[in-house]
Amino acid sequence: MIGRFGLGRVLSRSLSSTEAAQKLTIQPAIERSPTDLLAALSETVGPDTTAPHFAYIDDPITIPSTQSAKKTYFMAKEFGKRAARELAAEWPTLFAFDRDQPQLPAFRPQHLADPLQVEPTEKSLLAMIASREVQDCCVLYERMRSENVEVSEAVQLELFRLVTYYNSSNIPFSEWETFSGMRNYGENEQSAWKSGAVADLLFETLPRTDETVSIMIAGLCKFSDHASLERARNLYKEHKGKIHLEAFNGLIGSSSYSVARKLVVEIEARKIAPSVDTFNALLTAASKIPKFEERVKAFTEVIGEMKTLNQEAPLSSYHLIVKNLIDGKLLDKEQQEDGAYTRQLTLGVSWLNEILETIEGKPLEPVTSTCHLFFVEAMGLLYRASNEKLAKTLLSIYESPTNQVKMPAFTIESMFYNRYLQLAVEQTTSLPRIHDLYTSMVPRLVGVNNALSALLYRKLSASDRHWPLLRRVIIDGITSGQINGILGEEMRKQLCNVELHTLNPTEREQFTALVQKLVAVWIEYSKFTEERMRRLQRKLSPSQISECALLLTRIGETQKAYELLELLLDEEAAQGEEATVLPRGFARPWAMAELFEDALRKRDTYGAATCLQVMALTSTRAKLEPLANRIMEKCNVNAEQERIINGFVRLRPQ
Amino acid sequence: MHRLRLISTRGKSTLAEKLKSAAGGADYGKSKQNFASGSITAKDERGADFRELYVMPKRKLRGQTQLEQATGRAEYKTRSRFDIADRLAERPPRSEEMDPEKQKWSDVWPAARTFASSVVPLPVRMGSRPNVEKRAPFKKEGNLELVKIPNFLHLTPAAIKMHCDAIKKFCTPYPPELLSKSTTLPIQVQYSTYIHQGTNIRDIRSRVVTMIVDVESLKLGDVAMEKFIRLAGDRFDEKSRELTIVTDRCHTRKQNLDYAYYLLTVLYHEANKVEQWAELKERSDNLKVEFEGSSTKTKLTELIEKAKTAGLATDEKSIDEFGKMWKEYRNTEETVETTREYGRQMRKLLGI
Repeated sequence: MIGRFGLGRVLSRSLSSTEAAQKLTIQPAIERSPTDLLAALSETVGPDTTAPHFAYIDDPITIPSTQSAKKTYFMAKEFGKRAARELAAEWPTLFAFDRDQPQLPAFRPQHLADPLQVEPTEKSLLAMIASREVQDCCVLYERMRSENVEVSEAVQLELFRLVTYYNSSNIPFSEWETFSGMRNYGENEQSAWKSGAVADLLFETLPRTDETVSIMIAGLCKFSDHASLERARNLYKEHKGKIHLEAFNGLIGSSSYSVARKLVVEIEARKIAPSVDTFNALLTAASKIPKFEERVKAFTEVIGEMKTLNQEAPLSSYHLIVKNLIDGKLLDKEQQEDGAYTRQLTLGVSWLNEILETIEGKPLEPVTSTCHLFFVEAMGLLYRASNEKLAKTLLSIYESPTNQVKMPAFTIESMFYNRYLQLAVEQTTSLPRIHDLYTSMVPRLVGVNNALSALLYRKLSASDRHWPLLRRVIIDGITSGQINGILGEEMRKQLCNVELHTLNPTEREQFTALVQKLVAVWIEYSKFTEERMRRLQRKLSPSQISECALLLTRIGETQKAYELLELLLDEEAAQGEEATVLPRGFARPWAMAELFEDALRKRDTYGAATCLQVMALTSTRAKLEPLANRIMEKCNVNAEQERIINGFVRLRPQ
Repeated sequence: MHRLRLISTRGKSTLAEKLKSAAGGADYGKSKQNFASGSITAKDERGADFRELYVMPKRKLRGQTQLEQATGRAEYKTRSRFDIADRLAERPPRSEEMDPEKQKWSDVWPAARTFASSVVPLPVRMGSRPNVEKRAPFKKEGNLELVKIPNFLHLTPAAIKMHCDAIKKFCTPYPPELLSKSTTLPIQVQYSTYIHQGTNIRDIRSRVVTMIVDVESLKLGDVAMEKFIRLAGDRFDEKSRELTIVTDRCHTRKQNLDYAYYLLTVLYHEANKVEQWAELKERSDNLKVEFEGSSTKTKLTELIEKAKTAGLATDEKSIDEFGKMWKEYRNTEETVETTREYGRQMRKLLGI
């Protein structure tokens, strides 16, 4: 500070003495929050459509193509992280290079307190309750009771709240905070109320107040089975005091609509303001109505009630409506014959149209944990109705910066985009547009899947050729293991249909490389003949061999093509343990015809003879004779060879 | 319909093979080959097997096989491997499908990151080869040299322009007075802030503060200025008349800045103080050798007088000019030019 004052004196003297005019006009700084600058910079960065999700390592071998690969990679990464934390918690001294500032708790993980080791005091119990280790809490509480440690009523009530909310079991995966993989992929089975557990024990121990009864009713309804519901209703009837709203919500959600309405009247009589959860519970009750018309009427009633009370409907309410608009049994394709399905679908789309108009342009925020499900459910409905226009609106609402409701990336969001992509592809005839859409979404947002690939092949065969799209779909097929089976067959068919003269030199190179790779892979699959690897083997079928040979000749690898064709003539290739060729099936006649013509054009006697022999496997003498004559006509054949060919044809059956 | 089994069982040879043998020469040299590869066992005159002298194993060594495979002399035998699905899962490099018309580079490479060959769609090469004309440097794929060096792919001119445009809304206009070069502010303070990826936001180098003071602005008198310069030592730059104070002895930047101001204040007041002993200063204590009062000047005056009496056309007026040159000559390092200038001035003075 001394320095500052000193400077003031120095400068004021030096400046004021001569240059009073030297004045600086410095504008006041524009106010901004600490993150405004970062936000402004981040706005310059858009999505990179060719990149994988940021959770993956951006390298060709670590970019997952399918949903299952995404799950495997993500979980592998997360389990690695968990293992590292476990190591650091177990041996903290090995990681003592503690230089992080500010301190990062993730680098200093600590084991959870063991309920059998900690001091049995209220303090440790409260700490456990705060960390939501439900089962540990139960163990510690029971230990304290057996050791006759006094637990105050307030702590018991805290514990009761926790164990009733989670049904005396650990928190479900969906509530895991640190590990997002487990949160999104982990599945808990729907559990029924555990009777006789710590929750029941505490309920009996604690005095029956409005709060304890309400908590108990809410818990019984949350983990409902027949018996627990009965018990909840009895508790409700027996209790004379004021029941809380949460208990009412539970009861409404697990009752039929008519009972739910009575409960709502009860709420009103007790002058309790309903919450969003009350309306959602009411919608759940309404969705149980079996008759379509009555159900829609009930939905209308609930939404009307919300409007009257100026309660803005959250997306979770819309999700409940959209999910239950169409009868479940009508979703089965066989049941859709009569007009009921179309009628319900039409009504569903008009409801959705109204909903989208309501929420469009509004800032959307998650209110309940199921809000994000609205988007995927709505997209499903629009997909069924083939309504691309509304689907686009829905997509723009979801992607708009005002929307804060986001779906988990690899599970629900990919389902949403997959439905949108399939819908858009189905509704478009322009292959360049399909190519743009496909490359921008696969595999970043949508994993490669059989239904999508089949749809694209269908589109590709229906319209003019589009090599980049075909190449991309085939490459995606290779990376996601579609190479064997029906889609592999489709790949060969599509490649055979490519007119090579329409491709430019680069594309022709790509074609060559692709064919070489595919044939090499098919051959490798067929060669898993060793005992321990035979489960991987996919034998070559004769039709596959003929198509591959045709493709190889087209790219100029004639020798390899005939080596493949000779497999068809080699009996040993289809027999025994070392077999690489399927004993059933036929070579494709059109492929063989083209190969034969090609051999004739090149005046290749041996090639033509091989083709003739392959064709002889399925043809009669009458068909073979003209072919043999053509060989003798076109190729340079000596008398001996002519005799052999004639002899070969004469030995075929009539 | 079942596939007909029509392959000749006699020879087990296909039609094409038969045609080949009919044309002649199909099996030519086969027996010779067989013999060379050792499949025919030779017998000696007693009918016993000929046993070769063991020199080295008959199988080819790995290096030999690899060499033959690389040069195409031996067939490369592929075997199906277990990891086929993993090998197939490898995607083509994504730079292949990047379209400069539909995609911005700054979206692909928004921030600093290590070079990735599958992402950068440039045919860059790096590394040293002995003869570059014959063989180009190594390609980008799997090239560690490219990974080691820092790249600035995130700071393309277009990206910088976008960043500038994005944060322009937070900028106030620059003080117009400072745009004209005549205005100099008396004090400049310089320091650096270090940002890097890591677990610690601290950097010891960020505490260092450099303060540059324009000494003329302090309006010191001659005596005070001399004392100031003596006190400042090598922190004072005579050419630019600037004092540079670097402080790094305190822990934080603020403390160091305060300390720099403190030093400046102390220096200023100390310079203005006149102590008793300061009056004892003699000519030899000056910072620079002065022409006024020097023996050179006395001698020169005498010399000019003498020259005048001798009838030479001396230039008395240029003695001031000579004095300036002399002062510079004495106070700077001697060079050929200054010596020549010295001679020229002297001749001019004496009218030679």
